Amino acid sequence: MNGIIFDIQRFSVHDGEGIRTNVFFKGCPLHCDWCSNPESQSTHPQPMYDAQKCIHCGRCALDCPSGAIQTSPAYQIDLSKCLTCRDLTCAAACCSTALTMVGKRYTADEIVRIVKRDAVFYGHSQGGITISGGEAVVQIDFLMELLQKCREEGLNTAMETCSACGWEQIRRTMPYIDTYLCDVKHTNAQKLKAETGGDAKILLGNIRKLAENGGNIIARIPMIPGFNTDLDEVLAIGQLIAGCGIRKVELLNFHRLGVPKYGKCFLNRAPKDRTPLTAQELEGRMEILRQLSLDVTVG
Amino acid sequence: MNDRLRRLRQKNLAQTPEICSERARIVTEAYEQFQDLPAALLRARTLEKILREMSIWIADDELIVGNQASMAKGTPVFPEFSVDWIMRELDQFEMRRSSKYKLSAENKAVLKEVLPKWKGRTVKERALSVIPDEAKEAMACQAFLLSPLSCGLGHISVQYEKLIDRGLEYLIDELTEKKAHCRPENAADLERGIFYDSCLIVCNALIAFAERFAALAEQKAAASEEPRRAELLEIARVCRKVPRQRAETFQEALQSFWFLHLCLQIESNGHSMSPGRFDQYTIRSYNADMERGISPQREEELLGCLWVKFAEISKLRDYTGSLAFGGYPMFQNLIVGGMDADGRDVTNAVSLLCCKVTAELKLSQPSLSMRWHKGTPESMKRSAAEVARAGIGMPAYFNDEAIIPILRNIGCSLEEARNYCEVGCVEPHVAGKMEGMYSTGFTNLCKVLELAIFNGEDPVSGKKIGIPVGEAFEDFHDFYNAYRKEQRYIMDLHAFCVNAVEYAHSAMCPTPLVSCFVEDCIERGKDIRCGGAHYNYTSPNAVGLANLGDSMLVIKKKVFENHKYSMEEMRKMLRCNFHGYETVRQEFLHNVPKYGNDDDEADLMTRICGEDYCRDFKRYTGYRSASFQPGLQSISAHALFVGSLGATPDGRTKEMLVSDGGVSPAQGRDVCGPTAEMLSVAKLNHFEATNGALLNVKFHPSTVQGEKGLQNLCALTDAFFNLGAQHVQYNVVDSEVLRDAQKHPEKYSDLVVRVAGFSVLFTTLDVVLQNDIIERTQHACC
Repeated sequence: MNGIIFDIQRFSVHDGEGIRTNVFFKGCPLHCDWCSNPESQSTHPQPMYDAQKCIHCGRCALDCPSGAIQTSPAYQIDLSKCLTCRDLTCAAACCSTALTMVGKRYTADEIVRIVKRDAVFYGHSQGGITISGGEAVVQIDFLMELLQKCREEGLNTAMETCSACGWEQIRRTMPYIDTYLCDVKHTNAQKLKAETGGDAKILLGNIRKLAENGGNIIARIPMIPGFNTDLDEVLAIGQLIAGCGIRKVELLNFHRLGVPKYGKCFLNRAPKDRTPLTAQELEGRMEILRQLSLDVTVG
Repeated sequence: MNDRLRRLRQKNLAQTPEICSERARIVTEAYEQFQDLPAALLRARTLEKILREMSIWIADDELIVGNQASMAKGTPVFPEFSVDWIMRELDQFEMRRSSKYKLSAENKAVLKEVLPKWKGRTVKERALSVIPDEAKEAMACQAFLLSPLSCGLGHISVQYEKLIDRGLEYLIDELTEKKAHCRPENAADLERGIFYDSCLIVCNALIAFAERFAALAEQKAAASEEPRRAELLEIARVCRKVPRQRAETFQEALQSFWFLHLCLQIESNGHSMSPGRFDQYTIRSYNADMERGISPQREEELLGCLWVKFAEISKLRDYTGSLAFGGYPMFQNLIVGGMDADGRDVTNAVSLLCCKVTAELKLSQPSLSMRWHKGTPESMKRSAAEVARAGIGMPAYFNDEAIIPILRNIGCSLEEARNYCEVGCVEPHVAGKMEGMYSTGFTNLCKVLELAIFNGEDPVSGKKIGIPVGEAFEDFHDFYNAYRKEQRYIMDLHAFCVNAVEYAHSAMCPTPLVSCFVEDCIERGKDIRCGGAHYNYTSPNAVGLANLGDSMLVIKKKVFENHKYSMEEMRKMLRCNFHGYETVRQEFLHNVPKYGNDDDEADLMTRICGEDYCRDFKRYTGYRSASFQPGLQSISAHALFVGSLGATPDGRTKEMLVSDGGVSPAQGRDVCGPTAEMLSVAKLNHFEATNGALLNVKFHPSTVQGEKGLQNLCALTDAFFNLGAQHVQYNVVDSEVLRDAQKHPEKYSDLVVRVAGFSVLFTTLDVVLQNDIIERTQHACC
C-alpha cells in the first residue's frame, strides 16, 4: 500500500519529545483559514512553483502532457488541467527544483527506512517519529500499516491530529501512539464550523474520549488573532482541556510563513491578514491557562 | 558578571588592535648587539632584552597582569621572520576592509627606520632561497597556501603544569645541572651546552620580567587608595613569587600561567599558543583556596580577569593572512573536561567555572573547547551547552572516543593519548610532548581538481603549474587516477616548501622558551625547532573537500556513467563559468546527490577523496624526521581561495566560496537538516584525518531554546560522537541578526561568531566571510 506524503522532515524539535522526524500526510478534512500548509489540504499530489529558483528554461511547459503550464506573461498552472502525473513529468523536467510535485507516494517500509536513519539521535533524546499533516487519519489504512511497523521497530511515536474524524479511527491508533498532539481550536460550534469547516461535537468529543481512554495528550492551541485569542475564549478552551484531565498545553502563535505557499500552489485564495500576538499578549494567555493548573509552554 | 569584569570587558571590546613598534626596535638593536652569537643564544638574549626593556603597564581593575605590547591590544612586530609585506602594507593597515590595525605616526616612523635593516636577513628570505620556482608559481596560483612563511610558528601547548607546580627555580637547577654535565670536548655537547645556556637566559629573563611588574605594582600601590592599594600589593607579592616558585593560590597559578603564556607569544609570534588542559593544572590551587575559605565568586573574578588578558593578545597579519584568518583570531585553545591516564573523568570545579566565565564574558578569546567521552557528567555537558547557546560559537566539542585512538595510532602511549588537548582549532596534541608543525598550510583541493581536468594547466591564470595527465580518460577510475597524480605532485611541492620553511626557522629562530617546556628538549639538549620534542609531526590541511567530492560525483555520473556530457564539454562549461549553461549547472547542482544529506553515494565519494588526501600526504618525512599527519580543516582559508578558482563541476560558479570548516558540506547544499549532515560527516574516515576534522553547524536560537533545547543539543552531540566523529561546534545565531549587524556594525560590537576553528567578533570580518556565515545552511526549527 502507498501513502501520499508531502514532506519528511528530519531534526524536528518542536513536535514531541527530543529530536524527531516529522512525516507529513497529505489530505485534511478541515480547511482552516489560517492554514500554514495549504498544500497539505488536498489528498492528491499537486504542483508547487518557486519563482525565486526558476531559471525560465521553459522545459516544464514543454514536457507537460496536458498543456496545463503557461510560462508567459506570468507563470501559471491551470490546476483543472493538471493530471498530477504519476511520474511527475513537469517536476522531473525542472533542473533547478523550482517546480516540485507536492505529495509523493511512499510505502510504509520506505518511510520507516528514512525515519530510522536518525535512530541514533532518537536514542539520546527520547525522540522518534511524529505523524503530522494534513490529517493522517484521512489515510487511516496506510497510517495503521505505518504505525504497526514503527511499533515493530521500537520507535517512539507521536501524532498531531485535529481529531476531525470518526472516533473508531482514532481508537484504532491508540495502541500504537505514545503521544497525541491534539489541536483545540475553539469551543464555539458555530465559529469552529465557519472558520475551519469542523464539527465541534466530533472534534471535541474525540479529544474527550481519547483522554478518557487513557491517551497521553498534549493539547495545542493555535493562537489565531480575530478567532480564538480573546481572553474569554482562551479561558473556555482552557477549561475544556482541564475538564478532560489534560495537563500539558502548548500555545502555537500565529505566523505568516505559510502565506507565500498559497501563490506557489496556484490556489487563487489567500488567508486573512492577521497580526501575531506579541510576547506580552501571549504571556497574558498563558497566565489564564496557568490559573487552571495547566502546564503551559509556547510551542 | 561583577562590575570589575563588566568594566574590563567593555574596555576590551572598545579597543582596536594597534601596531606597536617597540618590539621591532628592540629586536633590531638586539640583533646588532648580539650578531656574533650562535642562533640559540642570539634568540635568548633578544627575548631577554625585550622583556627587560619593553614598556609594562598595569591597568585599572586588573588582577592578573602582564602585557604583550605598549598598549592593550597592542600588536608587536616580528621583523626577524619577514618585513617585505609590513613595509609594503605600512600605509594600508588602517584602511583595510577587515582586520584593521591602528598605526600612529610615531610608530610608523620607527618601523620605517628599522624594518629596512632586515632586508636579506629574515627567515622568509632564507626559506625562499631554497624553494624552487615551480613551487613559487604553484603558490602564486594558490594551489596551496604556505602559511608559516612570514611569521613565527606558534601552534603548541606546553607543560604549564611544570611551571605552576614547580616554578622556574626548579627548572633553572635542572638546566644548571645538565649544563654542568656537558663535556664540550665532544662536539654534540658543545651544542647542548649552547642550548642549555639559551634556556637559562630566558628562564632568568622571565623571573626578571615578573619582578618588573612587582615593582610597578608597589609603585602604583603607594599612589593608590584602598581597596585598590591592597589589590596592587597582592599583585606585587604574587609577581615576586611566581613564576620563580611553585604557585599555591589560584591567583598565583593564573599569574604564573599568564607570564609564561604571554612570553611564549612575545618569543615566537604565535598564533595558536594553546593553554591546553587548563582546568587540570589549576585545580590544585583552586582547591587550596577553597580550603582557605576563599569564595568561588572571587575565583570567578580572577578567571574573568585572565580571560580579558587572553583577549588583549593580538598578532599582525599580512593582507592575505588577514583574509585566511579573518577577525584577529589568536586560537588560544583552552580545553576542559576529559579523562585522566586511567580513563576516569576529570571534570572539576574549574572546568565548570571556565564555561561559566566564557558564557558570561562572551569574548572571542580564549577559544574554549570541551572534551566529551562516555563518562562525561551531565553537569559538564549542560555547562558546555549553555556556552553554545550563548551564541559565541564555543565551545568546540571534541570526542575522546575518536581522538584517543587517533593519537595511539600515530605513536602515543594510551596514557599520553588520554591526556590530549587541542591546539589552535582542532589539532589533537599531547601538551608538552609534541611539535606538530600545525601551521604547515593548506591544499586547495579544487585547484588540484582543475589541474586534473585541464591537463596540468591552471584555467584561471593559464599557467602550467601541474603535470600533464592527458585530456581523454577511459573511465572515471582513469580520471580519478589523473587527479591523484596531480595531488601527489602538488604535495611534493608543498612538502618541499614546508621543509624549507622549517629549515630556515631551525637555523635562524630557535625558540628556547618553548623548548624549556616541551619534553625531551632538555633531556636531549636540543631546541624544539631542531627536533628536541618527544614526538614530531608535520600537519597540512585540505580545503574544499565537499566541493571536490561533489564535483567528482558529477563527473562520474554525467561524464562517465550516462555520457551526457563529454570531458571536452565539461572543460568548455567550466572555462566560461557556466555562462550560457545555466540549465546544465542546475542539473549538476540538483540532479546529482550532494555530500551532507546522508546520501551514501555522495558521502562515500567525499570519504574517498578525504581519505586519499590524508594517505597521499602521509608518504613524506618532514623536518625533524616528522611524519606527515594531515587534517580536514580549512580555518577560513576557503575565503582566501575564492579569487583563484574557476567554476567547478559540482555547479559552483567562480564567484562562490568553497565549503567552509573542513568536513562541512558545501554552503546551502545540506538540505536535510543537521542530523543528516552529521550522519554524512560521520561517514568520513576520521581515523585518517589525524590533524583534525572540523564541522560547523549553525542553529537558529529557537532550535535550542529552553530546557528541551539544551537537552537536544546534548543529545545531538552525544549521538554524533557515538558515530565516531572528532569534532563539532555550533553557531547559534539568527541570520536576521547577522544581516542587521552588517548594516549596523556599531550596534553589534560584541557579537561573537564561529568562523571555523575559532570565534571572532562578527563586525571585524570581511564582508565576503560575513556573507558566507549568513549563507551557511542555518538549521531552523521544523
